[in-house]
Amino acid sequence: MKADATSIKSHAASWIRSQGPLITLVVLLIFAVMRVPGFRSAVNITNIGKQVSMTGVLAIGMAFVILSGGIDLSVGSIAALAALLAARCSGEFFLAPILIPLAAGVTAGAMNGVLITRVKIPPFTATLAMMLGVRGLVFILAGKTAVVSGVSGQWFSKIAWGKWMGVPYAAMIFAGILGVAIVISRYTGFGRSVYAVGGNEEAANMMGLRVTRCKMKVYMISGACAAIGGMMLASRVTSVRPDIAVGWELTAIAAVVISGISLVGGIGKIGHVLYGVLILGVIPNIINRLTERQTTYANHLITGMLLLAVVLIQSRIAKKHNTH
Amino acid sequence: MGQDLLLEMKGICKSFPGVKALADVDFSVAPGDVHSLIGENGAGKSTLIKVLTGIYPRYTGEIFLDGEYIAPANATESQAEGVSTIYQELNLAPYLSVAENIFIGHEPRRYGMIDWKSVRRKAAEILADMGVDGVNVAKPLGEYSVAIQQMTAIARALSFDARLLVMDEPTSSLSETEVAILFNVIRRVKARGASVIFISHKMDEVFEICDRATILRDGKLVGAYSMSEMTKLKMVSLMIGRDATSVLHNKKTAYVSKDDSQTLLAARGLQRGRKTRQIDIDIASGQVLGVSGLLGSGRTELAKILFGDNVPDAGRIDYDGRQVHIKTPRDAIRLGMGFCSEDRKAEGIFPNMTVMENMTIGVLDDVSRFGVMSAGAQLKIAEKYIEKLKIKVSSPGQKMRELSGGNQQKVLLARWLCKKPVLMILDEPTRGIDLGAKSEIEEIIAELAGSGVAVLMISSELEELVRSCDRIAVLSDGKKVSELSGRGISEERLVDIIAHGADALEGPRDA
Repeated sequence: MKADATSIKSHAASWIRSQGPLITLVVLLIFAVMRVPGFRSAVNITNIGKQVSMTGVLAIGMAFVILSGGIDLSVGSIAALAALLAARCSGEFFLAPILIPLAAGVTAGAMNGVLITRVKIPPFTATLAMMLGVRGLVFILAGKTAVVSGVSGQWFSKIAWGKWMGVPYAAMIFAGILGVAIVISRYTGFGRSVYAVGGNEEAANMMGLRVTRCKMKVYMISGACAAIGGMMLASRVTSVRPDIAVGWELTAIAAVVISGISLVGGIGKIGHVLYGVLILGVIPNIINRLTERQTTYANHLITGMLLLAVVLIQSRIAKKHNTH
Repeated sequence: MGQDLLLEMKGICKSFPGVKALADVDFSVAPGDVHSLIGENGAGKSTLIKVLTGIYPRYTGEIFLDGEYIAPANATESQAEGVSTIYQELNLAPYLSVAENIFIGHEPRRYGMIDWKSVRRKAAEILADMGVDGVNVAKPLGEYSVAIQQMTAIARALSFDARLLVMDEPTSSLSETEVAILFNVIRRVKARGASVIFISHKMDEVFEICDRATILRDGKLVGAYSMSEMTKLKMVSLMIGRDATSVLHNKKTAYVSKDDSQTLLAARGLQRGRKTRQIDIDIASGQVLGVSGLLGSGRTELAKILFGDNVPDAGRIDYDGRQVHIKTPRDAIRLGMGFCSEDRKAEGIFPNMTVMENMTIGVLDDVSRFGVMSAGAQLKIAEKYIEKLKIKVSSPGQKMRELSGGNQQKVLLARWLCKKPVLMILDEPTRGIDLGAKSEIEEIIAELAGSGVAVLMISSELEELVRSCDRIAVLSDGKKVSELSGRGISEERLVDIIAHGADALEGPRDA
């Protein structure tokens, strides 16, 4: 094709259409920087970074699951389990508060995978059962007191509170995992097969791709990401309650959907999860600052409406993209 | 504007980013006419139809229906105007009854509630009027053959009092007897005064049923012709814009006699349910084995057993001289097999992945180094096969869903070719594909066999089988009834064998 003016124009147009999440984020940021008092202060930016990092990591795992055509409702409960285990193990051997929760998360993810691929339970139902079951386990493990003693290990609490050159460790962990996820999704056979399985499972099977193995891996990744999110949370708080991280699965799903990854499976880019996560982090921050209160009852309502607006605008853009 | 035309489309233009799909196309249909829309894949037939039926509401040009200006904005609106489309892939609900499928969304009502009695009665009336009998309208649609499902779709259109029926490749999944019944229905529809736009790649059908033909090429109008002044050769020449003699007389040359070829796969007593019964089959390297038979005769089922997508109840498969147990497609692929499904959409393409990604999905290990895929190696494969198979794409990064059927099929072929298969199973490789691409695909098949690959080819088109195959196995009702080879192969003999013992239109499948 010749690179004449019209084709450049149409290429630019289709690039813009595929960048809905980024554009939304930029618009939000411009508005916030110009109009919202205190938004651009270093403290505030760092805070947003810390806040979004935890659910952000969950969203990365969720993105793999959704790209493969599934859903994982159990990540909030897995994060809580990981947080609890991390707090409990922080006095044990070195790295115990990392390795033990991680193992628990991967195991829970593998159980999701087995339920979905072997027992053939639909992902929604299987992970819903795991969400309830794991949460129940957290309550049992927490015991009567319902509050577990805080994190003792000095180094462990650094995960949430430490900084390097002004950047919180938490944000670095999120960015690092995101980077690895982008590479996996774009440059490995596994990443390609996630898209293939989500795009057309039957065709993937006929091409000899290991569909079952791919799905197992996806849920294990999601479990691992949930566990990492949970550990970051444990490091941040002084005590872990069993009702911690409730609803995180929905935040993660929302971030993934806003990032333009289709719930149908096989469509979207893992890297764009960054935009979804930041949009979700910036919106409540803006609301809080504009209303000058830390918690507003209207907060959820406004966030919900803004979300709806964002998703609507993006789906309109995408629709134009599809029907020309 | 002409008052005596049912449909008149004038100066229709439609562009997609980077492509002009339709350039100033005129198209008109007279009342009571069966009008064929002809052109190769990508000529603009589907685009024109989608403009007419409101799926592409943004176009330039004018459309008149019965002399009235219309601007179809969506499918519902165009249906209300009296334009009904029977799509290639039927949009029906298999678990609802035939009657429900016909009337869904506009059921006759009584006191505000659906009057089921009259739904069933009216549905039966419409079908009887079309000359379709032996259908119990209360039974789920899914229990009936594809042909009956098609009739149901037409009945649905008639229930809307459609003035103009659009049929996009209606015969692609029908057997020859079923096509005859469809044509009877079309004649009745015509007698009722409605017009039909008939899109088909099968020349014989167009000549049999159509009154006029409009030919498109590369998004431009070539012309509108009366079928009485048309010949096959002329039509093909107009379609592809070059002398067609070479296309139609594409005789097999590469494989004359190959007695030295080795049997690669030998299956004995394959059995699975009622669809595959005691089938013996031998496939030799360097040969093309055709599988013929009516739809539902067990052709696809046999192919899927060989490729491991179905596991047989009984039987033995020897491959390369030793017994093998093929339980999954992965097992088959490890043995060097490849498989192109007849259902490209459901079992073949990844619509939202790029052409390159679709091609290299089977060779990811080969293009990877230490687990990381090389973009360059993938691009090399894609570019090689795009050129070799003459695939029309704007770039290797184009989305698969944007390609025409013929080009999608070529990509699927390339997907296997780059794996260098030893045995290639092709199920209806040219279904729904225009003549030019078809002869190219036939050439690819001949080349494959010439290079020593064993090919198993299933096709509903006898001509194609006769042209391409060294041997042809004929299936009927799950059994192999005959096998022709060499000089014994002819269309007449095939028709004879298939017709023998094969009934007309199938009733409920469980009967």
